[in-house]
Amino acid sequence: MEKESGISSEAMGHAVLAWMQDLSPQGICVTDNELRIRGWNSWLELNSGMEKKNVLGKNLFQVFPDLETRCLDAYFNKALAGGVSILSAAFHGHLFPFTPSIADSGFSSMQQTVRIAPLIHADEIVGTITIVEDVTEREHHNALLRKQYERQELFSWVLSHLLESTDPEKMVKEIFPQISVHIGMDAYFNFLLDEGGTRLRLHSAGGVANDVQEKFGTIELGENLSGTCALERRTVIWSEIQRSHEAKAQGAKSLGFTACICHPLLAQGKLIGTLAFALRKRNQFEPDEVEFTRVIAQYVGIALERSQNLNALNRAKEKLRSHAELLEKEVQERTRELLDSLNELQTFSYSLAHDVRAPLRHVRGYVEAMVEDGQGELTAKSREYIDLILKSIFRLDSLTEDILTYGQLSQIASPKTPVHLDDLLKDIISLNPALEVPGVVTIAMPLHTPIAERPLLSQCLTNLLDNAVKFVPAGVAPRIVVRTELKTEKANAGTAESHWVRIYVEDNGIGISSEYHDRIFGIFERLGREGDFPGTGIGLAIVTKAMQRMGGRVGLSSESGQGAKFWIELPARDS
Amino acid sequence: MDLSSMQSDALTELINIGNARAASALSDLTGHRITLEVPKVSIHKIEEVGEFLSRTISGEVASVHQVFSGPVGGNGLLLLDQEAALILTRLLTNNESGRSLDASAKEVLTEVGNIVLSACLGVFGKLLQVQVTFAVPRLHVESIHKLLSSLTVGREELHYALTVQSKFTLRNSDIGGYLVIILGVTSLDRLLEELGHWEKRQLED
Repeated sequence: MEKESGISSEAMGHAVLAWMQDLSPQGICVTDNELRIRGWNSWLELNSGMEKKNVLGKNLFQVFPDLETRCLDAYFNKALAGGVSILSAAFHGHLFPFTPSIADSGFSSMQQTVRIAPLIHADEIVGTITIVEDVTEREHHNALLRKQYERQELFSWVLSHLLESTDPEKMVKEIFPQISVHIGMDAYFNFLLDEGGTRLRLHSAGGVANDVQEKFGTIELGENLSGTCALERRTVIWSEIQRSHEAKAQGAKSLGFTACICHPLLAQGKLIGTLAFALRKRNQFEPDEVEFTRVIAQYVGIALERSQNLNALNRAKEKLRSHAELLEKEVQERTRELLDSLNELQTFSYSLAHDVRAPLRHVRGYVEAMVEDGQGELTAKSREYIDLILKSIFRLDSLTEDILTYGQLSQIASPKTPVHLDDLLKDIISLNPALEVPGVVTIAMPLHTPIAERPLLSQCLTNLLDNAVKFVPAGVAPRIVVRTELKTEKANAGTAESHWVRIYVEDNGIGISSEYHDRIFGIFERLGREGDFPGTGIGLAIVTKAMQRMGGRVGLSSESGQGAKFWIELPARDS
Repeated sequence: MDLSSMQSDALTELINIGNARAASALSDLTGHRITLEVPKVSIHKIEEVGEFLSRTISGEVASVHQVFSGPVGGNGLLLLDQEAALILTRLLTNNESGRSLDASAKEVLTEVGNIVLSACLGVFGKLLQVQVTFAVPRLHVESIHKLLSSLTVGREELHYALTVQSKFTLRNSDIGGYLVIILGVTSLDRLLEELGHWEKRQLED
């Protein structure tokens, strides 16, 4: 068969191999067992720029001296000992220093995956074979993916920090330095629009000296990069600044910037500031950097808007609080003034009543003396007048006495103690002959014991009983019932219960129409004509005031002509 | 097949010598301090090794597979479950963003497997005083059963698997895996015999 084809199978094999070597998309380097180059395929010629004829027969390390300095000779020696090695691009970058196959890969040399194996012939190791694969494009792609991933991480880091922060403005200052470093920016400026909306105030900056920050502390709209961006409300990018002759760019030029980008910070379409980044080495921004900084600006805009809303809310709260404080102060002042004048008035009426009594007694004494001395000389008319004078004096006297009692209520305090109503009522009844009449007052037992100031309670019950016996239609015998009731109250769900003693004074008198119920507890309020029933109109006012003093309540249920049922309520002893 | 405690000790010691070399090579390569421990060595019939391994490794496994030939021949494998493989490559390359075993990561893993397998089998070769030659290492990601069935197909001789539980430690992390060396019964007998001699020589020294 060999003869038929006219060529040996060995020669055939060589031919095929040579053809495949030339066609191979990988580098194939063959050495003998002294590491002299014996095979150098077209791919290697193409990528190394070294022709086969110039390297064949030369020692591998002579052609590539850095293999030894990078300790890669060990892999060839291992192959001569029968070992196989794989050299990954991640660990080694490259075996042979070739130019990267793609432009802008970011790698200074072609990235390679390399396999080094022994070359075996008839069970003998006769040399080495090295396969070099160009993986630059793959590694470049991986690096881009990595960068994208890192940016995404940075985005979520920035976003979560801005959203979590209770002080977004401060947080913005803290995150810029980190972002700038991460994306390779040399400086940044963050301006905020002032309240008038005409100027930008520097909020934070980095990568520039402090005096520069002071110099650009406030800028006008339209001035410099940030002012232009704020005025036009759009992203402004300046490239190759050092070559620019534009007036606006001179500030950036003087700071040594080569390229700048500025994004407006917008919140719901409203301008709140600007965010600018600057480069000092590269003359322009990559499209991904433009996009990245734009997204950061969006985030920052949202955070600052949140911060401004928060501040506005706090200011409003503060205003409200100080207003409430002012109001409270005013109320206190007015109350104090009112109390002062009230005290003055009370003191005045008390002293008036007190001072009136002495001359009154004088008048009464002389009138009585006049009646006694001039028994036979007085005409019937004179006697009638004298009676009227004495009646008026008596009325004026009771009035002054009641006013004094009323006035004393606010000045004298005695301790609150359990008061046994049984004793108290007996004392009161014994002092008023009208009450002492058998059958007039009925006390319904048992009587509960309230906590009260005894003199005040005594005054209240005296007044109520006096009224009850007084306001009875002519010809009707007064009937009065005094009884008590224990009440339990709960002001709100969850609060403790309180116990009260309610003392009723019920009579069979003329009664009070319900339309007057509110009025009768005021001072000088009388319902009947003065002639029908004697009295000063202060009695119930005294009761009301006394009950207020003791933390009690007073009330009434009555209808005209059906008798009256007054009650007072005081804390019970057991509560 | 059970190993005597002497055999087991001797094997562990021998593999540790290989591992120390591998760890030192890996440390030089990555710039991180890496150690490689062997807590446990055992021998199984190849039919049974799948069950043994699936007790600790589940799901897809990444394996670096290297055929060696010469007077003693067989298959060497470094097995890591996919998660461990990913963590290991991430730690070795300082690339925290790796989310999958991409081509670049697979290559790194292949180089690591090659280093570990070469070191271990190199020690065996020296012991047996034979020249062992290796084929190019390959990386596969597949289920453990699929992996093992591809190794048993078409074998007539009885085969055994020497399984070496291994633990990589680097940058405060531990990553567990297995080194599996599959040998024919004659190769294994020869290995164990030489192991006995070596152990004796060690004791005599």
